[in-house]
Amino acid sequence: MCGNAEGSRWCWSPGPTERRRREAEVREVRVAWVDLDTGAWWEEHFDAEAIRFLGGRGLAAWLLYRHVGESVGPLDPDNVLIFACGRLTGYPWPSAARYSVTAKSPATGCYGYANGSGFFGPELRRTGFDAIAVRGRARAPSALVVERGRIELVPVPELWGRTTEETELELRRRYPGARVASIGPAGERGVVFAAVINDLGRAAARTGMGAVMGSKNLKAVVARGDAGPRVGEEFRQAARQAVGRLRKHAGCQLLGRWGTAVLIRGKNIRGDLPSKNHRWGQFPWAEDIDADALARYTVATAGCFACPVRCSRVTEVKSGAFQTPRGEGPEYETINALGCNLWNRDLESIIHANRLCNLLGLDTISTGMAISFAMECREAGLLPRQHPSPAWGDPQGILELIRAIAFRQGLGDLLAEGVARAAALIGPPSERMAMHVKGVELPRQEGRVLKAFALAHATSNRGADHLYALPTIDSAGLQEVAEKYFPRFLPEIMDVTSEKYKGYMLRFTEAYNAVADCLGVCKFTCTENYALLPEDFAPALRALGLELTAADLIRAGERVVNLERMYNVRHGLDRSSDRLPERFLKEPLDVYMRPEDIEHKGLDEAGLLHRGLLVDLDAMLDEYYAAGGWTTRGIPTAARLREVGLEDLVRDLPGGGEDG
Amino acid sequence: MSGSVWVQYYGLTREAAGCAGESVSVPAEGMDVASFLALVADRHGPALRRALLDENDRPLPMVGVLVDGVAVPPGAGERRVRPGSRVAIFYVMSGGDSK
Repeated sequence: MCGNAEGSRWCWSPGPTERRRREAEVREVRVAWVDLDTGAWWEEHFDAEAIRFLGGRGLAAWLLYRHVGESVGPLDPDNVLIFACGRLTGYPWPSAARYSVTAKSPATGCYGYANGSGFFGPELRRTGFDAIAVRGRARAPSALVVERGRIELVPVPELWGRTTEETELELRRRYPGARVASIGPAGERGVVFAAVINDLGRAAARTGMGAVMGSKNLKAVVARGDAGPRVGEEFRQAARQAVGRLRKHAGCQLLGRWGTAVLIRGKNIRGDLPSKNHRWGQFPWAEDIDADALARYTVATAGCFACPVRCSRVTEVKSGAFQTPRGEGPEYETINALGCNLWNRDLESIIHANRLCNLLGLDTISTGMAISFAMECREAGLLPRQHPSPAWGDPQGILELIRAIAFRQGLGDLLAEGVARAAALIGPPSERMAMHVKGVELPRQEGRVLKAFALAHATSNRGADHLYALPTIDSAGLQEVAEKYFPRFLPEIMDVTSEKYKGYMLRFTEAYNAVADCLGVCKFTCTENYALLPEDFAPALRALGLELTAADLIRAGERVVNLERMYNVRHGLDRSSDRLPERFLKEPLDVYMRPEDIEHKGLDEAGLLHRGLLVDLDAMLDEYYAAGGWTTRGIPTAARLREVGLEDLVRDLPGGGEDG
Repeated sequence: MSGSVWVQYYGLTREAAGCAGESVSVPAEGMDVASFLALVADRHGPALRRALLDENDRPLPMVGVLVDGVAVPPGAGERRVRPGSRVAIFYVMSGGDSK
């Protein structure tokens, strides 16, 4: 039923006056600023910036750019931590569930953000705020309770030291109907890759936003709204069409049926299943950890707010050494990081380790990469004697080291600094084992096989990252997408192992992914598989009073990427920071027809799918910079900044103005 | 009496087949999609077989197939690959997951 009835959240037919008021509401962005030193809060409203940066990640990047300068350290009270809803977060749009957490990152020392899902973001939207920006440091461990028109800083010293699950359940008991984003012991102790966890296991994981939260004595943010955004029939019609497309899309159907673990088999065949700290691109026991194996522990499926895909697996290990209660996950990245990356074929231990990371508030990707770094250092005899590390494939040792990282004990204290700093402390031979870019540990793609991902990892403005640009067009064989956007570069652009034209692909995909983050939608509906294209969002935005074409949206995405780049440029980053670990440039990777052959030497060519793959990063960087209007040093030109609507940033270019 | 079918590989299946496309001979009465996948798997190395079929030679759920531009679930038997058809084989997923 559709009408004007009280309590009808989604169905509403506005009159002309009401429509103008609603358009003004949508165009205006409300940011609540909170001073944790005093508990005071105030509102700042934006109009033009809401159009310029859309919302979510883009809006938060703009706030960070304005308010956190080069002299502020990531864990200083003056760093600003921003929880931001995307433009569509909490609206009845498919998978509009995502929110961003942005701050200067302790991992990169410059720009950082993480992106979370579940139901916290939509609940934040229901409070009427688009973003909450906090600065300062609370005198005692505290929770920030956000409701409509009211924000309160509540001391919760009794929750300090508690797991994210204990914290969330207790705060939900105290504030019925609320959603909670919290940190665990890792964030309290400033672990450089500490995550923010919401909905009992959804992670805004990357770049150490949990550590920033901990540095502010902020244990949790509690969101409790009273009404979702109201939309009219025009919006609902656009949303229905989008849902219809998603339900018919083969990739979305596959995710719903099998979850992200379905990626494992294909990745193992093509050599894109990084194993043993990227010494291999395949894993001989992939069938022990793939989607079929995970299905044996799956007791239900789950989805985020308004999601028609429902990719999440709810798993349980009922008995044994790794008994684990029901909970969401693990997802592909985690299965890899804590599984084949550690030469660990015990899926029950991976499920258990995933839950442990969530409880302690750790990024599973970086945790796995920190442990594989330690395992390789141990094998090479580089670790000090007082720091025993588990051997490859030792599940109990992995679990012990996860706890040691979160509580900063022994070797865990060293690894809690991230692999870049740990390698600097151990000494030069270990640096070639430290798999990171800009201080952030590598996600789980193999760049020597998928060259577009190699470039994506190297150039992401938040450090090594697959989701910043998510260049799947070639690797997923999306021929129609390539024909639409890159007809000039066909067929070469579709060769995954070739560096050619990947810079052009990345310029488009990084912009579209920025749009997804700014709108607050899940990438599984758009940039992963192109089930929805940029133009599919335009009718919904138009219904909200935002007249933006597909080209306008991509331009907004470009603007956000350039803004983030300029933040890093202000901090002295340039081409020299867009690097990959030496392993990708100097250690050739062979891909075997039969992954079980990977540790056998002396196979002839017949046993190989690819021989001696390496990355020619400089060639790709040259193309990428040129395609995006940046100098060969990786710095946006003044002309490019003006072109994307960032003329106010020209003065921040090196040299104080025109192109440096 | 047989005729030829043009099969085009995309993404992972292209790497596993070692070619972008090829002509494959099929019987005049055609064959179902699952049998066609087994046929092309036999023409190449173990990588393509693993990419297309499970241990019991059943098509994998992540394999997408278009026959004359129409998506056909590999397990479905109703649409046949006949001489003159154009077939596209691809993987429907790539990348990673969300963080």
